[in-house]
Amino acid sequence: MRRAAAALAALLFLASPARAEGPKPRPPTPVPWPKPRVLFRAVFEPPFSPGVGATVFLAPRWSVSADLLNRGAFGPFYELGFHYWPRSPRGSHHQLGVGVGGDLLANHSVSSGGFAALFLSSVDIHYLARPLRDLGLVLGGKMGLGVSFEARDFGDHARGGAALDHLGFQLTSYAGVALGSPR
Amino acid sequence: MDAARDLRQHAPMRLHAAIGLLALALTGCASLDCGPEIDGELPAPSLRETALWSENHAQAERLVAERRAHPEQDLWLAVVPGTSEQWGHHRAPPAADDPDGTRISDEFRARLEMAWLFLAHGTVRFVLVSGGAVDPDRPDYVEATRGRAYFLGTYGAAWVGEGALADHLLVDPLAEHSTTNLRNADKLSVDLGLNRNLIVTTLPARSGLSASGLTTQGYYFLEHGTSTFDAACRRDFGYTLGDFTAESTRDAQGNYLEGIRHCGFPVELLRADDYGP
Repeated sequence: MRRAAAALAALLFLASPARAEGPKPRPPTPVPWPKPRVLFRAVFEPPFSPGVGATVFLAPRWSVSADLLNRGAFGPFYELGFHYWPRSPRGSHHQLGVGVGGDLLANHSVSSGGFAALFLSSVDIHYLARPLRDLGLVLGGKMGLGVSFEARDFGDHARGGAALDHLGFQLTSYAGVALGSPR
Repeated sequence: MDAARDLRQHAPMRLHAAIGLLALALTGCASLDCGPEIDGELPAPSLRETALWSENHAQAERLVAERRAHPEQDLWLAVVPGTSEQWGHHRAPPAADDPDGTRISDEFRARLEMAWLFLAHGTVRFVLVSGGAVDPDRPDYVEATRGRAYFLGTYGAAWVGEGALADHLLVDPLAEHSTTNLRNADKLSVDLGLNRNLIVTTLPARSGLSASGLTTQGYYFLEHGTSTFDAACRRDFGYTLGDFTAESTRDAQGNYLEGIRHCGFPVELLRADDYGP
């Protein structure tokens, strides 16, 4: 009887909360990894053939990008963009980024009077998967809407047409590698 | 020769060309090869048995003769597909808008004007106006014959080349679709010994950066692999019609001359095919 009472008391002791230890400490939240230094991307813009591009994060929330695109019959197009990324990086191995900004898409051609260009207001969304802080993969897309013009629009040989003929858009997706990170 | 040299003006600078070649290498674009020269008797004897011969025999024989005399000429034939979309798909102008039976659409007029600039510039020496009776309710409305009448009436007096302007104007009054416009034009080119022609149509403005350019016939041809043009040709003919490249230059007056260089014809398949609507 005495042995049974001792065993019951031991069980009760084990089952009781450890009041003396206080709340159990939560595991420390990992420090979010900053944006990578640079993204090297293959750019897809169906129905056109793929192009290439790079994005460089000059500051934690600012990036510039340069792309070489092949938009069909009018030869290579060059694109420069800048974006602001308002969302602070969260997480380390997996991150979602949303950037807003603008792009300038342009090419050289005789028929346009020298050059044609499209000014875009754009949104860039990407997902980063980084097994290492300085190395990972990026998947993303960019969509923009803007105004197109060409050198001829400012001379004697401007084409006729409605204002809506100056409306342009771009929808691209990309995949590539993410390299580096600020220290 | 001047025309050929001018057409090469659009060749970009070295850096640009290098980047372009890199892009081509990256993307595997089609080559600009125009294929072998067309051999055999010219004009092809089979052409004499077709519906196009009676309308075009004098011009066809003239083209062959001139070509022998000017082998250095790069492009010989500008192809102008008619269009009447201004009044709806395959619709003639309403009778009220067409009292004297000469009306053509604004877009067709712009194409003919461009063809005239190419002809006057010497880039080409002949023009083919293509387009049949597209409206079943108006068999009298034939795009090619109206286009020819407009062309001769508007530019005949300004023509300073050899012979009359009509001697340099061919017509295809059969084709009723974009696919047959080009199939007939390519077959006629082959029958005349040409392995290339210049398509004069509505091109996307601003290098295709405007959304409205996606609906133009030029975009339809230039992006033939991804537009439905190749698929439509396979469906209707069982084969595709070759390569298309944007081509542009400026004349002495500063006018912009824009067209599509078309080559890589499927010669034997075209020879075996018929002219038709």
